[in-house]
Amino acid sequence: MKKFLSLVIFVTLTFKLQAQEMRVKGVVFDTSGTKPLPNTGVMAVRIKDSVLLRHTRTNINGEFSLTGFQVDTFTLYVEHPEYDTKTFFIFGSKSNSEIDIPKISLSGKSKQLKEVIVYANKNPIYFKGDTLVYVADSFKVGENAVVEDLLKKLPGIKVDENGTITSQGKQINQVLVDGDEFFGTDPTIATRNLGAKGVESVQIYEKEKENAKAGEEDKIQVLDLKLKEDAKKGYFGKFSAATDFGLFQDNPFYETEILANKFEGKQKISIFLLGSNTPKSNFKWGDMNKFGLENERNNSGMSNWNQGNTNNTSGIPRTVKAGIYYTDKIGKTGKIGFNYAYYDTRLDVASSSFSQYFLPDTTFFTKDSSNNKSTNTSHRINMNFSMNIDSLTFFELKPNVNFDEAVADNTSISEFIDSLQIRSLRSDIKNKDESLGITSNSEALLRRKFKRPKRELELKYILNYSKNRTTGQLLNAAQFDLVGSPDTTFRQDKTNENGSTNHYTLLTYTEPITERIKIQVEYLYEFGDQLQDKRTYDLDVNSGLYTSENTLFSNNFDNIRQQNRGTILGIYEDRKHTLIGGIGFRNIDITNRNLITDSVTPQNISNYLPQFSYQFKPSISKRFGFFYTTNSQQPSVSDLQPVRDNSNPNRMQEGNPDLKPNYVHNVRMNFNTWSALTGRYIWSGFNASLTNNAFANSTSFDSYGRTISRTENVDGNIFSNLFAGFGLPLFNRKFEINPNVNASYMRYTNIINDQENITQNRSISGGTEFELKLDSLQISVGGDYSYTSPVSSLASASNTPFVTQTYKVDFEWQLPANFKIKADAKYVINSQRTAGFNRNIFVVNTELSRSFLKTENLIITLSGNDLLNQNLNLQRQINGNIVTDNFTKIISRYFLLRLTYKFNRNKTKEEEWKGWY
Amino acid sequence: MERMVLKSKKLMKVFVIFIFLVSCFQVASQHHVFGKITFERRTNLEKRYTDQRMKRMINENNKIRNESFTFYFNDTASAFIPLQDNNPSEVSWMTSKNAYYQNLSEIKQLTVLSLFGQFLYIEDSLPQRSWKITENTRNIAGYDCRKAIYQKNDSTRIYAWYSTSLVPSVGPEGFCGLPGTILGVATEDGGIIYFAKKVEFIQPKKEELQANIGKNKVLTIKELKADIEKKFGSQPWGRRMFDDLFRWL
Repeated sequence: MKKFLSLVIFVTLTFKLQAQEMRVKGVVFDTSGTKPLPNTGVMAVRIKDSVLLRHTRTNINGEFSLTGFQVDTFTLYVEHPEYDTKTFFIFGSKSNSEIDIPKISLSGKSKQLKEVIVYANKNPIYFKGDTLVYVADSFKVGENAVVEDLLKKLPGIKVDENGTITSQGKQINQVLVDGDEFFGTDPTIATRNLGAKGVESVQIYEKEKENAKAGEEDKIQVLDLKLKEDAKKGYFGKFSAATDFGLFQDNPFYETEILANKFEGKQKISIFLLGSNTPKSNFKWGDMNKFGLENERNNSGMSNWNQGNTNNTSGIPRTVKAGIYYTDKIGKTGKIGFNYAYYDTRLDVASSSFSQYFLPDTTFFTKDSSNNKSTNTSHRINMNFSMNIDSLTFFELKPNVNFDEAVADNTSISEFIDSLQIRSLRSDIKNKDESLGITSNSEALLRRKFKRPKRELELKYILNYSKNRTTGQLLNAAQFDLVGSPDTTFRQDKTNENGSTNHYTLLTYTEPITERIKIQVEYLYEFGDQLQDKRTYDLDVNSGLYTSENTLFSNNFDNIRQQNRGTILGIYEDRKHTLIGGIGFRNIDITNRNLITDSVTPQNISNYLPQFSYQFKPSISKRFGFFYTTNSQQPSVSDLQPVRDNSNPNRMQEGNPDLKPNYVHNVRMNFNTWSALTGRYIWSGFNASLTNNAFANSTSFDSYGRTISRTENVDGNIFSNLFAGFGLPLFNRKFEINPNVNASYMRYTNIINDQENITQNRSISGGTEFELKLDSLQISVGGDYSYTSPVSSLASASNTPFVTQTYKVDFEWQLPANFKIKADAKYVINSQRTAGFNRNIFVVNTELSRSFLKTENLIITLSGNDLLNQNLNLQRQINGNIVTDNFTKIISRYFLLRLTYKFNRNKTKEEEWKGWY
Repeated sequence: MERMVLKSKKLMKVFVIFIFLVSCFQVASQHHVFGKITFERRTNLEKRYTDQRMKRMINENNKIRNESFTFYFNDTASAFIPLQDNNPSEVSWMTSKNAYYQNLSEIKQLTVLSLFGQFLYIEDSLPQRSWKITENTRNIAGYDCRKAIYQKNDSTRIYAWYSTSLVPSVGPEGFCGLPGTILGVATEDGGIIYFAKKVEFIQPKKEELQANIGKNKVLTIKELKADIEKKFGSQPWGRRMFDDLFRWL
């Protein structure tokens, strides 16, 4: 009893009719009851919900006065670190709102009390031990409801719009399916993809957290979905078909797409099919992500920054792509994947071009028209396997093999015209090639971390293997218009067998020296063997077969290289700065062996490969970087092999076994800033490279203008580019202006009739885009202007600048009743080119679509591409002293009526992939 | 209800107020009115972000982020300032780095929001939160603290531990209003945890308790929210970004 000091205050209970403030005052003393205790904490806590009503401290005389809260029933705590806390229960009322406790003496310590928690048991919700169990069938949900809909019906469980689940106010940390994690850690994959009908019971319990750290609650709350036997699976997909029903031409245009994903437990299978004879040759970026078609995505040429469809625009295509992806988990950390894809792409290219050859003493012209039909068939098999051997060691294996078959059929007519505009030669060439090949790019990786943070050892092995056999036939008919030259015709059969094997082994070790400084050492060993056997056969008069080897165009060649490279890097990193500097030394030993003559061209080259980079990040939205790197590339075996390639007898190529690897210095700078609140941004940068021992064409012209080229090393090729742009949002971000500028300078050398020709290209371009973004309407309008001035040292006649102007409009409008209109237009003005190639092109595309069904999963679209039928592929290429204007026939106007149906197991709206932020 | 242990029958009279001793703590033996506290914040990014796309950037190695803050206080003011992050990673941007200056005599708080490297200055009255007091205690950095709970909304509860040994009613990350200095704050799921690591009794300098606003514009929360609603209202990513910014406000 001594422990307790009690003080009783009488209270009259009346019902409060109006709010009234409490006033509590008192004086706090130590145990002796004589010494006032200053700074003692006094707080009022409402009894019914433990809410803190008011708190204060005693003054120097131990006095306190607590007011400013309504009349209530509350606990008054008087707390001092050196004494026991004293607690008063106060039943305040209108007539008992002023309480004075004149003497509060604090005393010694007592024991803490324990908690008792009581749960209620109810059907169909009950406790099984510590587990709260909901019997799913007892809660009514819609026909196609998903687990999330079921959870929303369960008493005590709340699901917010992000899919976060709370049970009795406590967040669920993990969603399990039959005691196991579903797809990864995101709970919504389970709750939004599994049907509610498949759930037998929902169980909520606490689980010990694996590897909990100090200061963290070591228990997590788990929601475990116990499924009925037949329910551990789901699917989603998309089907789309479009055609013009052959209304406008004999061959109807079509596009078909099927994408589907099925999951069962941890196993996931995706299938895909694409068939088209329009420029659409890829899936949409979002679909490739949604269905996990990683290889298709990586091969598409698209990226996060450029998700536009990289359509086929170089002829009349026909595409079939189909395949299957399979992934599963083995054990705790093992992942296994397999995918197979079949590609069948055909392309018919009919093109014509006009080229001007500027030589110091004369000028040639050629008119070419060609028709090229090609078919490529390939089977691609990718596998991957990865696992954490232990908590510090990671292992990954990625084998790949492709089988390719190609058939190409090419007919071309070339006319050579001299400076007096008189035709001197007409040549008709037919090539027919068939090839069969196998390639493999496989990788193995072992990464080991250590107890010491940032210390790391990585071993990587890459195998690149290829083997290819091509057989072909060449027919050439040359008609000489000048007197004294008889017309010639010949036919040859050709074979080309090439094989290459490259092994790369890369060992990297990173050692932290201090908190901010690391040293990285890397060692690369490469062994490569490239073999190419090219044979050309003329007619054997005796047998009538094409078996007589033509030694001028036949050769067997072997290129063996062995590279050893060591690199050491110092890395400094802190919050704002990253500084990396280092140097590599490499030695490459090359043996070029001509197996026909058994002559050897050995090369042994040693280089230093320095690198340096500095990045400055004053804040997360502002960064500057400077990068300097050096690298070296090997010439291809066709550049090396000392044999002539006459597949185009008018433009022969010849290899050069003395060709050395090139050496490139790269400098890159960038500066970007972004303001999150206003949305303003600036991006700018500069790239430059200087290449020594660059691979350049050395071309000799004969009197008709026919050429023989070989690759030589030249020094001093420069490429540089400067770019900048900014974004300026206005009117609360509903409107945005995005101007940009770009300037580039190129300098490169080629060799014409043994004379050096230096070409310098200067080009400048600029443009602006205006964007209007409203809730249902989005419009963007933009224009670009580009000016290019080529200057060639040998022939000033080719130095004609040219201009391209582009104007674009994009429009998207979401209408009522699920209608949507999209349109875009592009107008290109080409000027100062060869007569006939200064065409202005105006392309307009539109699309009207409407979605049906409650889920909006059925969409019917009518689209018209290139309504004005103007689309052309027109390009000007400047290559040393040659200016070529090229025109390729491509698909112009076509209409499609498209039906798209999206589906999933739960018959809900199938959302499109939303992209990154 | 709070565990009432009735030990004496004479206290069971109706219409009576009882007092009795419930519990006690072992505490440092002095009251303090000023000092410097080093806080450590531990964020579990995996718990923090529910968005699947964000989760893709988070892995086993980077999901736990530890950051430090300095907290200066005296009887009328406090300053909570993020320390330089010496361990930057590609997910550094996923955690907030805001500074707070509390002024008890003027009942004001100045918040310096760091928005992707840009600073926004917000001045408003000290936040009035409804705290629930519990009987749970734990020792943080040598001080026995009582746990209080703030129910932010239906799904978010925040725990704070305060010590009556430290007199000013201030705390980290803009938290305050408890009968002592707050030495620990945690979200209920343990996704974000602030704990005092070191408490030193150094009288803070005047300039340490004052923000350097310079010529920047100072807004109220209401003004800032209205501004953002105007600029980002129609953009879901923008709203998400700012919801996050106001997570503690």
